[in-house]
Amino acid sequence: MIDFHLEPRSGVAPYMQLVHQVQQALRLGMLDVGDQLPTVKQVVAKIAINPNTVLKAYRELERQGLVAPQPGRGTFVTATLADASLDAHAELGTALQQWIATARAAGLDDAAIRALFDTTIRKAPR
Amino acid sequence: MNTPVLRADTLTKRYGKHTALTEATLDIPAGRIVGLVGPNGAGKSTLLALAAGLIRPTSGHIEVLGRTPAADSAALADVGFVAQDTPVYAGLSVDDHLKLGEHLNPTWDGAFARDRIAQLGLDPAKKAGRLSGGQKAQLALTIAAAKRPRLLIFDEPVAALDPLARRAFLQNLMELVAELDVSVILSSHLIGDVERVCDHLIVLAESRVQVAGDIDDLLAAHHRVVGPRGTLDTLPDGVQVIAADHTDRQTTLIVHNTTGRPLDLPGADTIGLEDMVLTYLHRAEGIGTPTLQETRA
Amino acid sequence: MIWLTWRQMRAQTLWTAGVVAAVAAYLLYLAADIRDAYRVNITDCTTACEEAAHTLADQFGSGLLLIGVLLLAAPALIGAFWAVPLITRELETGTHRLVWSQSVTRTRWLAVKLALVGGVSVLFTGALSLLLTWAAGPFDKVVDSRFEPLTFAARDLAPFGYALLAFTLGLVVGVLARKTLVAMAVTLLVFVVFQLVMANVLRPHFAEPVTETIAWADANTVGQIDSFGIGPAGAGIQEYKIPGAWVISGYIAVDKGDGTEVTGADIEACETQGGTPDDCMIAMDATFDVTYQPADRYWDFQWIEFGIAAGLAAILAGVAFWRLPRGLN
Repeated sequence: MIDFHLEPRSGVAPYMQLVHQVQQALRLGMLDVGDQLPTVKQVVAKIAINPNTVLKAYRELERQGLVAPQPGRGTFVTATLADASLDAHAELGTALQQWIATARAAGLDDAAIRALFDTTIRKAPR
Repeated sequence: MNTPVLRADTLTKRYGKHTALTEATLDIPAGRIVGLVGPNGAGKSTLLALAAGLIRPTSGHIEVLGRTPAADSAALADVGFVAQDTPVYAGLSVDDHLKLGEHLNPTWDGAFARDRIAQLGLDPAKKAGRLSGGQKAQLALTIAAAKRPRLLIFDEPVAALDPLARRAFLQNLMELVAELDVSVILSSHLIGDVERVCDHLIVLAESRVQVAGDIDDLLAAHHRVVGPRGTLDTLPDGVQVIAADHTDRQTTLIVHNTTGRPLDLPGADTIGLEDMVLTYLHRAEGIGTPTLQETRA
Repeated sequence: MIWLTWRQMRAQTLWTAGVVAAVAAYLLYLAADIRDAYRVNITDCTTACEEAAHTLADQFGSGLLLIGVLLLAAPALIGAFWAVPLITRELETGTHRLVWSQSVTRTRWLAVKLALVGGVSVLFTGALSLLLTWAAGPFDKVVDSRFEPLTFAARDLAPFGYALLAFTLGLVVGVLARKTLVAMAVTLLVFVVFQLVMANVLRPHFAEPVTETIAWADANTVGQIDSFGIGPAGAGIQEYKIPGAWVISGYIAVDKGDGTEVTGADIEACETQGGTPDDCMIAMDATFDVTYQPADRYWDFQWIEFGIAAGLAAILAGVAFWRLPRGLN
């Protein structure tokens, strides 16, 4: 079963951290279709966080189509991060490299690029 | 669960000349874990004691779960309270304390209590006076929770505990909340714990409520705005300045966006919970006016 | 709440029960002793019986008085050492914040403590009182001084009332003062003052005392002159006793037949004539006035004393209950 952890100062919302950890586990093969996620009670007993945070994370994962609750039995993984998304990663990675090259040519250093990226992604509509 | 767990209306408590709590007005929905933060002497213990019904208000009104606190046996059964320093009967054993709970609470769940004590590894025969700080806190938590209340109130439960005991207490508490579906109000001066565990916040300073609300909403509505000096002198309506710092070239504002719409201001960024709380505490110290600091560059 | 109260008071109760049992055992032993002496000196007496009666009085008088004083002290001690800590220990250790967040109201918390611990303390004191009254029975028959202040307060019904009063006093002082030592001191002080006021100010006036003029010749049939002073200042009775009654008069001046006080000159004239002082007094038609409460009022007074103590106890209990839920800090 997956073990969660919380990084309080990462700037990422706690529930998102849990979501990312599940996604990472799926990518690395630590979680597979049919595996059960720990119950809310189990998670909060390990890392002392608000149970609502766990519920929020599991709801987000459900929204992304990665998990599904089975009433009375728990929450189970229903999909891996499929190759389709891996393809998307490759394409996006190439586009990003080009953009970074453009930014550097315009005179931005790495820190400026990161700052611009952070501000933009925060403002970007969902 | 539609009744707010706590509703206060200009709640005031005075001890002779000293005012411990001034006109506190609060409306806390059910199902939350509420963090009550503020410096020592701010009125946190007073507010919690009023909520638990241990003391009565000087003026104003307070309702817990829709009732006057500690009005009768049923009201007491619905609210579990652990006071600061987790008082226990030093001469009674752990098991005696469970018996105490059983005799004094008609809604007591003995099996649940015994299970938890076993899980925590507490020796039932040990005198409570000989338990460590962390163990006392766990015992007090068990006693408060085993009557299956709808609300648990803790006054600085982890203040005197070492980091390991503190984490163990919070783990235990969160597990209880997940299992019992109970609302919690806990006071703390460790904002890190509050960030981890709470979803609703009350900031208390100088005996007044400085700000209160769901943490997600508060964080979404507070911003740090940085801009060149002089460009931030006028702000849109509904954007309140909580604090302002100026150097000769730069202005930094902490603002509260009460418009209900997203803030569209150049140089506005998010602010962390700790900084937001500290801003309000600084403001309270300055007796209500935004702090203005001229810093020579 | 009953379980908790017992558990908290367990050690103290058992320890006190031990002391009470020891005192009771002693009283039983004393009772046997007194009855033996009574049989020897009174019942089976053939010669010098009045002297024998005096011997009995002397033999047991001080011992019974001592126990009587202990019995007087008992309620005060109970009030201070039992009732006060019932409240103040919880307040000082902070455990009131634990017990008052359980599902018992404060009123019930106080009521059970009052009923249970108060009840036991009244029982202990009362039992000793009854035992002492029974043990001293034969003695009281001979000496017949049970109406006297020190004995009155340690016999029959009175100690029950005092125990009740001292206990509720301790509770109220505990609720109001909240600190153990202060509350104990105040309780002891107030209770001692109460005893003094009752004995000296109130009790003499439960009913209008009787004043009787007694001729010297009858002095020793109505009662008994315990000590009598005669000298240059005149003649006066230091202590006059009427069996079973409570003599309130202290020093009594003796008058002559014509109503004036016996003077030093009269005494001198008497001495030159010779004869005993007694003959002298009779010759002068001496009389004196005694103010007293008659013996048949003993039980009325016991009930009034108990009633006052119990009534005060009820008022104090009311104050404690009224003050408590109003939000102690």
